[in-house]
Amino acid sequence: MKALSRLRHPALAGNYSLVVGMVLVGLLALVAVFGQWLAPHDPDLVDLSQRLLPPDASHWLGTDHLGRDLLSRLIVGTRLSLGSVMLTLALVLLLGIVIGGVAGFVGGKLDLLIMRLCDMFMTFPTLVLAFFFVTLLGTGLSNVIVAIALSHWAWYARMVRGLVIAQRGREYLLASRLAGASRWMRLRQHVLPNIAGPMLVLATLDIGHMMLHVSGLSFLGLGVTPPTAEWGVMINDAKEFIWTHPQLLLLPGLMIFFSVMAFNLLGDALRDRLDPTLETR
Amino acid sequence: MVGSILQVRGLCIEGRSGLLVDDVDLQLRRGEVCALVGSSGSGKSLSCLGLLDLLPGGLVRRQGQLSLDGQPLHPNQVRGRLASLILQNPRSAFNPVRDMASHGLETLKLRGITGAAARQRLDECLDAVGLSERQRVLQSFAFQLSGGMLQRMMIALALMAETPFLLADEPTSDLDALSQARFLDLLMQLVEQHALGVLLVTHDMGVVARCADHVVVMEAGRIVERQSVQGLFDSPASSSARTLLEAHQILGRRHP
Amino acid sequence: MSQLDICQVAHGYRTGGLLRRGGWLQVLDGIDLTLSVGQSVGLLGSSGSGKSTLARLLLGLEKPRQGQVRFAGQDVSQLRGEPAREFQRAVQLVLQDAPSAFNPQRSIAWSIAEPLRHLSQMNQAAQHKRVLQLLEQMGLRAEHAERLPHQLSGGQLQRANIARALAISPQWVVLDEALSNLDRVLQLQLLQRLDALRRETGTGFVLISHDLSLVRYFCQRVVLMSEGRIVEDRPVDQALAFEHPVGQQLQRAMLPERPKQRLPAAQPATAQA
Repeated sequence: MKALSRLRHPALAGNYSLVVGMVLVGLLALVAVFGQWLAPHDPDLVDLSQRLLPPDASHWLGTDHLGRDLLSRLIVGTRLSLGSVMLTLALVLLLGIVIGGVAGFVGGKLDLLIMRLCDMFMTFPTLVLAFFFVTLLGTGLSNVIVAIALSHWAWYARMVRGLVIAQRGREYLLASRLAGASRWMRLRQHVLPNIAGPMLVLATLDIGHMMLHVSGLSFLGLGVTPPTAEWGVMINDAKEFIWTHPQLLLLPGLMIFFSVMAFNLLGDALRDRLDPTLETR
Repeated sequence: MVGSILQVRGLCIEGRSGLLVDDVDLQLRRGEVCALVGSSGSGKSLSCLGLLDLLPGGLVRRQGQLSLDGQPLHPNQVRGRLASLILQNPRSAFNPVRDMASHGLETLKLRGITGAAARQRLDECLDAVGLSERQRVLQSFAFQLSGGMLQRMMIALALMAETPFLLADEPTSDLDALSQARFLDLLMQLVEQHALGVLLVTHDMGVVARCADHVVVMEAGRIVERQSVQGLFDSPASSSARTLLEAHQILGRRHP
Repeated sequence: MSQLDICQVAHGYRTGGLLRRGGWLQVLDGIDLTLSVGQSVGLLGSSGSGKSTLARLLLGLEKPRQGQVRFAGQDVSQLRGEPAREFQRAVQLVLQDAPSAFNPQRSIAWSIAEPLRHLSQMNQAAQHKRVLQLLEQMGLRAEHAERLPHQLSGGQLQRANIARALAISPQWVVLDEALSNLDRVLQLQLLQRLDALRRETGTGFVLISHDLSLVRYFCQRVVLMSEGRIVEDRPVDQALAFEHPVGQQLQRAMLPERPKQRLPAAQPATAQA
């Protein structure tokens, strides 16, 4: 995408955060994909004789209350935690772009209708809405993903609609219309590519927030359930050990923290890069 | 202070790609209009802004000694006290969330005029620039007024600041023909009545013919010609001046 | 070649919101105009005279509240399918602000070729050739073709803008204050090129402007507008002298050709005829 080609422009301040963000996210992605082979032990292998061990040569981070290797669980959990967030994001983006795009481009009564629908959804805090949908749909990871998507789409639709409306006022859309391009062509060739940049930034910055939702819902027992390795579930599992073995909670917590930070760094850096007002001629 | 001269010597402005303005000397005399002309990229706007050290980000004023009647000055002493600035795009010079009255009162406050005296001065200045619907204008925000009216408001603010000199950077480029004519009439009237010393940056020789006493021509960041206006129209020396004059003269005639 | 007619057109907009009583802003009233093939017509007037709205109606971008815009005898707002495309091929528009008329992510060549892609049968190679020809015609170089809009100056972009309007060889090009943001030298250059084009290909031009000097230089006929009405319609000749006060006002507002000796008392500008 041409928007991404701007990333290759000569150095702006903040080059540093882009590189760091990309490296961290890249690492996370690698771990997510190759986790099963990277993990030194079977993450689900229960061995009560090995429970609650401190770090040693065999278990680099120790074991949990069921004797499972912490490091392996954290590694394998990356896939679920990140993967579910990515799926959620994809769903939210799809809903937001389609609904917001139509509202912005078509305008008129359809726009009004969609906006009132968005208003209804936006009245509630996203977590509360997510709870509601989980109650409706039932527990389980796929339901959690749908629930979070349904609770967030309105914000994205609004964002997309705003961007599309801003694009519509641009004269190159008028020029395109006069050149004989159909509505669909105009949407595809002019509007969508020009909102891709800002949307990318918004999405990246929101990943951290969604990750907290996914892990949060799992922590509350509404998403992934034990014995599956997922960071939120791991924190939930270990809550009775908070005073005796805090590392059982801290370590998955730190993973969430680092992931959120990595995506925020990336999102910030992307936003600085793709912001046209920062381009000096 | 009749006949006072505000001068900048050796103005040099540097950007990312090198020297954009090179060793420029400009003189403003009260009661006279000096036109600074050149094509796009000649550095005329930058020289105008650079005189007051109001350059956009990324550009640096390397040198340039300001003086009034020979007395050296710092740009801070000149901005707002000795010289006011009018820009091409009047809309961007106003705070979009504050009305005209608050802009005026702010300017007057810097002069130490407040309260009833300030209100009176506001009215006087608006009258002077021909903004007769005073109440409506004072309560308006920038987006509610036309370009022509905003330019007049800018002059009104300059009057309120009571600066003896005025720098105008392409003030009529965004105005239509009628607004331009009214604005230039107003400007000349004020030059006569208040002995304003004006630096008028323009690419339009018609504006030069209408207003200027002297002309300074710039090309690629340097001054290439300095003449009285009659002299320039009779025998332009630099190629920039010749090109600009030719275009002006051809457009002044009916196409054969 | 077909005639473009504006018949008894009136247009306006509803004002006011949901809670306030709706008002009505009349922008155009009683407009009757016929544009003959191959003519250069100037639409002259100050801001608020309705000229830009008239341009939009001419292009079929909006339907007039009353009256019709007719192309080849047919109501433009009723055209569908192939006749509609025929109309789009016949009339093109160039707007004032060049930078915003180009998609910032696409090359100039891509944008200039857009009408060719949608309105012509040319293949890619033919399109490319046409684009290069157009660039040359408007005084740009071949290397500008692959540049992005932010890499060109305002003047160069406006040349490209005009090139795009000329791409499918329309019968009319409407220039809506298209030269207003350019300096005099460029204005003259472009008008000279467009005039040459008109003589060569018979393309008609509608120059919408507030600047009488441009209209006087380029146009064969001038239509003077004020407050939504046509107040005068005359040919442009050596001794152009308007009868209507608005026209006379615009003539007085023209900047002088030469400097005068400054008189001690304040004097309003007087025009050089």
